[in-house]
Amino acid sequence: MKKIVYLFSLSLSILVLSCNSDADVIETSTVEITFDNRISANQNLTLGTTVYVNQNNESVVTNELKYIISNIQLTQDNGTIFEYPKADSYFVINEADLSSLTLNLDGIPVGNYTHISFGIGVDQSEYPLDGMLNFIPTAEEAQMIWNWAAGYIFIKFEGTFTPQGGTESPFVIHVGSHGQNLDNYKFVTLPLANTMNVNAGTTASVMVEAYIERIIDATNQIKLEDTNNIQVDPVNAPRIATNLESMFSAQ
Amino acid sequence: MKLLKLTYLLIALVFFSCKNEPYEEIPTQAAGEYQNVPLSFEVPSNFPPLQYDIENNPPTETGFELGRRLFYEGRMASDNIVACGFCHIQEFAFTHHTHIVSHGVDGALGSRNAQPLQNLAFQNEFNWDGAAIHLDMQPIIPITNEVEMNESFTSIIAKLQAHPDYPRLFREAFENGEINSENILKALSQFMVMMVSSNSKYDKFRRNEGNVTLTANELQGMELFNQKCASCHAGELFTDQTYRNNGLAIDPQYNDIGRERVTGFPEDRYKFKVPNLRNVEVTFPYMHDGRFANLEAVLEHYRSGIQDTENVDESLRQTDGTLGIPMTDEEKARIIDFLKTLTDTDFIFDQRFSEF
Ligand code: HEC
Ligand code: HEC
Repeated sequence: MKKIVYLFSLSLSILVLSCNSDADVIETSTVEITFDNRISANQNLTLGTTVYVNQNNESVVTNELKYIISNIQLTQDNGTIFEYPKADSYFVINEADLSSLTLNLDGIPVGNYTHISFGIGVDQSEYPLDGMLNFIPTAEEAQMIWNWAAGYIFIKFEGTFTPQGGTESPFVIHVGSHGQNLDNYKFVTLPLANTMNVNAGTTASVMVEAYIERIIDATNQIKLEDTNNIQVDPVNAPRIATNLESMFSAQ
Repeated sequence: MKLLKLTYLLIALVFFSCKNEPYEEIPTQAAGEYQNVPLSFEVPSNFPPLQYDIENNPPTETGFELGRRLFYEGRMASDNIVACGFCHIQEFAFTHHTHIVSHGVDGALGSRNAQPLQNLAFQNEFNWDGAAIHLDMQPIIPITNEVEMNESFTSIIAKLQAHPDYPRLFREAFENGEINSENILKALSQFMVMMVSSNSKYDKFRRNEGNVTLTANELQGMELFNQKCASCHAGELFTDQTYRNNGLAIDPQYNDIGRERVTGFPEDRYKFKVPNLRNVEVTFPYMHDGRFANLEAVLEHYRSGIQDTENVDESLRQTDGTLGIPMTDEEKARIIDFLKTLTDTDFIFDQRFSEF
C-alpha cells in the first residue's frame, strides 16, 4: 500500500512538472460585436417601414436584409493580428432576428485593438476547409444557401421600390459565388473609431454599422428600375459585392 | 499485478496530461472508438492526375463504410426512402434508368437525368452544369432540393443521432466523433472517391494487361471515335470537362439553360458538361434529360439530328456550313462496338460499393 502511495505522489509530481505550459498562457477575454443595420449614418432602418430615396430617385423599402460574416480578425495597436478560430467564425446577420445582431467572441487576447476585419460571405477558394461545411445547418435555417447549386448566399436584400411618379414593384438581390469563375467573397478591414481595450474580466464591445443604402449606391450605382432581380448575374452581382466593401463602419 | 496496471495508468496519465484539453480518454480500439485504418487509393497508370484533395479527407475503412451506409440511407431524405442509391444504382454505373429524368421524394420529378458516379475524384466540377465545385459540397444539392431528397441537414443530424448505429459509426470514422454536416459530407466523399472504374477491356488493352486485345471492329471504332468524338470526349476519362452545346433540340417542357444557370453568361446557354463515357453501355437513357434510349439514337443525333441552337459547338459544323458529324451506318456500328469496350464489370459488380 505504501508503495502505491509513493508511486502515486511521484507520478503526481511528474504530472505537475510536465505541465508548465501554463506559464506562457495568454490572458483572454470576451468581445461583443454588434451589427447596427441602418439606411445611412443618420437614418435608422425598420424593416417594412423605413422609406429612403436612392441616387436614382427611387423610393426604397427594405423587407428583408441578411448577410453572412466570416473569418473575423482583430488587430492590436502593435500590429498583432488575432484570428478568431475560422471554424467558429461564420455568422448570419439577420435584421429580422435581434439575437443574430450581436456576436460574442470568447478567447480574445487582452490588449488594445485598433482594427476589425471580416469576410462578407464565405471564401469559396478555401472549400471545404475551415469548418465551413458545419455552417450548413445555420445557413439552411436562415435560407442563406442555395438548393440548386452548392453554395452559400452571401447577402439577401429584398423589398420594394417606387420610381418617381411610377408604381411600386418588388426587388430581389441575392449575391453569392457561382462556380469557379464568379467569386463574390469580400474581405474588409475597418479602423475602430476608438481603440478597444480588451481586459480580463470585462466584455469589450465593438459596434459595426452597416449602411444599406450603399448596397446599390456606392462605387457602383444600380438603378432598380433597370435591374430589380439580381441573383445569378455575372455583371451586377460583382458590382454589388464591390459596393459591400464600403458598406461598413466600426465604432 | 494490480500495481503494474496502476503504473501503466499513471504513465499514460503523464503522457496525456499535457494536451490542451483538460483530460483525454485513453484510446482503445474497441467498437465505438476512432479507427484510422487508411484505404489505399491508387491512380490507375493510364489516368490523369487526381483532382480531389485526398490529403484533406483520406479514405479510411471506417469512413468509407460510414459513407456507404449514408449513401444507401433513406433517412437522408424527408420521406425516409429516397436514398442517394435510389437514383444512383450500381448495376447501371450508378445511374437511374427506369425513369428518363430522376424521381425524388413523393414522386417529384426532377428535370435532369442522373449522372453516373465513377472516377469522381478526377473531376473538377459536378453536375451537368457545374453547380458544385467540390465533391464534398455536391450532396448539398440532392439533399436539400425539394424534387430530390427535400431534407435539411439539421433534420438528418437529428435522425442519425437517434439511430442505434450511427453515433458509433461516426465515432469510429472521425476523430472528433461528431455527427455533423462536415462529417456526413466527408464520409460520402470517402465512399465516392473510391468509386474508380478503370478495369474495362479498353483499360486493360491500354495498359497492356494480360494480353487483352481489341477486335478489328473495336479497333476501327476506336480510330473513328478518336477522329470524330475525342475532341470533346477527350482522354482516358472521355471528357475534357468543358461545357458545350452538342446541338440537342430544345425541349420546351424544361427549357433547361444548362451552364448559364450557374454563370449567368448568355454565351453559356444550352451548354452542358461533356459527360464521361465510361460504362456508357449501361448508363442509358442518354443526355442531360435522358432523351435518347440507346446508343444508336445518340449516334444518329450526331449524324443527322444536330440543331442550330444558340451557342451550338462550332466544331460540329462542317466546312460547307451544315451541322453534323458525317458517318456511314457501318462507322456508327463500329463506334458503338468501341464504346462497349468501356464497360467495366469489375466496377459495376464491386461488392465494396453495393448496398448489402
Ligand atoms: C432524385 C434522384 C437523386 C438522388 C436521390 C440523388 N441524386 Fe445525385 N444526381 C441526380 C441527378 C439528376 C444528377 C444530375 C444533376 C444535375 O446535373 O443537375 C445527379 C448528380 C450527382 C453527382 C454529380 C456527378 C457528376 O459527374 O458530376 C454526384 C456526385 C451525385 N449526384 C451524388 C449524389 C449523392 C451523394 C446523393 C445522396 C446524398 C445523391 N446524388 C442523391 C439524381 C439524384
Ligand atoms: C462538340 C463536343 C462533342 C462532340 C464532338 C461529341 N460529343 Fe458527345 N456529348 C457532348 C456533350 C456536351 C454531351 C452532353 C449533352 C447534353 O446532355 O446536353 C454529350 C453526350 C454524349 C453521350 C451521352 C452520355 C450520357 O451519359 O448521357 C454520348 C453517348 C456521346 N455524347 C457520344 C458521342 C460520340 C460517340 C461522339 C462522336 C460521334 C460524340 N459524342 C461527339 C459533346 C460532344
